[in-house]
Amino acid sequence: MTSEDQLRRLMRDPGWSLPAWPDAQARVRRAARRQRLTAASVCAVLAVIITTAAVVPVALMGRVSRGVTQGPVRNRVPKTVPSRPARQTIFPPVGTAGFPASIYPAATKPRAAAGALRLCPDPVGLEAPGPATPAAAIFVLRRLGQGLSSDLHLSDRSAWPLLVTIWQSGGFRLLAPTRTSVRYSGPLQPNGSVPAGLQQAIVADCGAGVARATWVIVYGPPNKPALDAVILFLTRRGHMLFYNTV
Amino acid sequence: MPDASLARDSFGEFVAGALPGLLRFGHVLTGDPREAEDLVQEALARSLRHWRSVRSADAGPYVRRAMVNSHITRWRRWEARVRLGEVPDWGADDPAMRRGEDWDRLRRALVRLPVRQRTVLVLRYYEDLPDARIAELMNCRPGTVRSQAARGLASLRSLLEPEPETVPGGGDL
Repeated sequence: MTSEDQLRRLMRDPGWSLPAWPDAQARVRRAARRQRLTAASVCAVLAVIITTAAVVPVALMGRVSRGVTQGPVRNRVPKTVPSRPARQTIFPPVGTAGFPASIYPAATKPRAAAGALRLCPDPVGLEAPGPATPAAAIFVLRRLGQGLSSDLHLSDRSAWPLLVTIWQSGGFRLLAPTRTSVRYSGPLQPNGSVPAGLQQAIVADCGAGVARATWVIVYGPPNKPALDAVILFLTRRGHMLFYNTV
Repeated sequence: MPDASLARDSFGEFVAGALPGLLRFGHVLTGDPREAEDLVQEALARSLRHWRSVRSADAGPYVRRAMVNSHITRWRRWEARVRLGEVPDWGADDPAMRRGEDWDRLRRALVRLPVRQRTVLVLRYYEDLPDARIAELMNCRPGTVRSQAARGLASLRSLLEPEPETVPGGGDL
């Protein structure tokens, strides 16, 4: 195919047509509502950040000045205020721009009431591991830990609360590639590297479909097997996503 | 609230009439039916929020512009996302969805192009827009549009060239 006319003709091929949505208006209105909600959430978070940034230094200055005028000499140095991570992180709602529901659907609750997992990936759209999976999993592993926002894009929604916890406690410190080596990269099945009972726990909590789609990487610092970490991935509609760690 | 109900009616009419064309445009632009639906939904929702300021005659170009901007932005934002392997055979098993071989090769080749090159080609050859208008839509200079189009066409040609047939037992002559 070399001519521009041919390109023009192929771009107008009926093959590009997609079925129209029967509930188009309702669907668009729901999306608009979500966009408004997201915008409102962003404004609220910004307001909290700005207020905190304005109030904390003022409070600190008040403490310092009181120390200078009223306190004894040895108490003049103000105590440091521990920095506290935000208690609640507002996640982008399902279907938000940049997080299409087809790739980032809502997480589901585990089937077992007191299961090992707090949340499970939605089984819809999951794909069994294929020839490209090992390299993609390593690639995602290497990119995790560069920032919460980037990690959300690399992860299933069921991992998002865990990611926030990880970031509040200092991020993926173990993931530095120079300090780690991969001991196992493969499907979820009992073997010397994958913890015993992990497969049964995932089947019991999230179902056999999730377990079949799971790709496991076990890694850790060289010569220190006690510090091994187990990272679980899945592929949804062609996208490799992190979903849990043990 | 007669204004609100008027706006609702005109938006409903617009969506009903324009949706098939927007979905087609989104599909050519993204090469992926699901991403096309997401893109159209997002652009229509954004347009709905500003519907009162959008004149009905300009609504089509307005939504298309929102789609182009959103497509380029989301690709920038999604750089972190990892896509596996080949482009899937959407509906390959469904006879109603089976397409021509040329069309399928073009779809696969388009998906491999960088997003700006693909967008320029789609706006030029699908929408038939002049380079100056494409430049305006993409916030760049007409010269950039021409160079992106030339690069895109060259890449498409190399991607669409048939692979040389191998001769059994053949070697260097």
